[in-house]
Amino acid sequence: MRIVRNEDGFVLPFIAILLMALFLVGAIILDVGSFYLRHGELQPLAKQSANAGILKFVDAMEGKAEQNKSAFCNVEEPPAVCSSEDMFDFLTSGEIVDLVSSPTVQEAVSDASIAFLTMYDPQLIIGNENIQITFPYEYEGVSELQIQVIISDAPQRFLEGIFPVTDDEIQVHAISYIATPF
Amino acid sequence: MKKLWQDQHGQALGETALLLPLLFLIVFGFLQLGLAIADKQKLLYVTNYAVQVGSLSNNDLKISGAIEEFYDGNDITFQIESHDGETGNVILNTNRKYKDILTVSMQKPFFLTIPFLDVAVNDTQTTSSAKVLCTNLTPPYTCE
Repeated sequence: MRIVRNEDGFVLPFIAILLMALFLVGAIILDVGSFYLRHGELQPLAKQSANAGILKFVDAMEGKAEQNKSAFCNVEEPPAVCSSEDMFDFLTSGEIVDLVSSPTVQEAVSDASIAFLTMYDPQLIIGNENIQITFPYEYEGVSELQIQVIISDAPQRFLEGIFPVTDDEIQVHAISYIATPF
Repeated sequence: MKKLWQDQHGQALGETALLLPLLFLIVFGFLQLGLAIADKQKLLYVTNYAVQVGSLSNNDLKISGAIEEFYDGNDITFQIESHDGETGNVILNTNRKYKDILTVSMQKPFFLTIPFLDVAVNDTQTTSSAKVLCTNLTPPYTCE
């Protein structure tokens, strides 16, 4: 009973407990902060990677248009359309659909997106297992010429040892598209 | 002397006085930590914005302008780097064209918020990259 009433050295254990609580708060601040920072890095990266993928598809369309143009315009008196710089003047909607459905083109688009992500991730830690590319990506049937990039990443957590929460993954989505006149 | 040693009056006050500076330091540290995270978040936002502007204009002056919209001091340093769109090799910024890659890196020292003192503790760094898309643009963006 005397022990309970004895207030000797009361502040020291009190502060020790308080300090632990404060350090916990600090770790939470760091965890949440690094989570948001990584999310801030990944979101534009996903968008730019989707752009890189769609540009690869533009390459394929330009290649096909160039091929058609030389076949169509290499004559003695080429028609007026041959002076056009617009690739869509030398492509049909069917040819674009063929390109979209071609596994080679799909792979090239996907590879371009992945290459951008792995090369230009500011922390250089994204691996193929963190990336999901969908091309062509159909969104409410609007267009076939869309690409979707999903990146998943789990930032390093200071509290991992204390609270082993598993659903702490960052996931960002981005879509890029190219509009055609068809 | 022994009597004075055994006297427990004001003991809590003494212990608190000993530990209060430590507590103050910790709470102050958390405050700085929060400010540092917010600082980096802002720098990241500006870097991404500058890259977006560069991607749409392919103009280094517009990139500088985009950064100056947010930071007008001398503390900020930034670099613009260009890579070939196909090979990934570094190229001159003046040779950058459609489909090449633009990278903007920014550094800003983080100052501790201590009254009357400007102590720079660390450089906050961010990097962002994008493909140059300056084609078929609508005003106000122009492709050089």
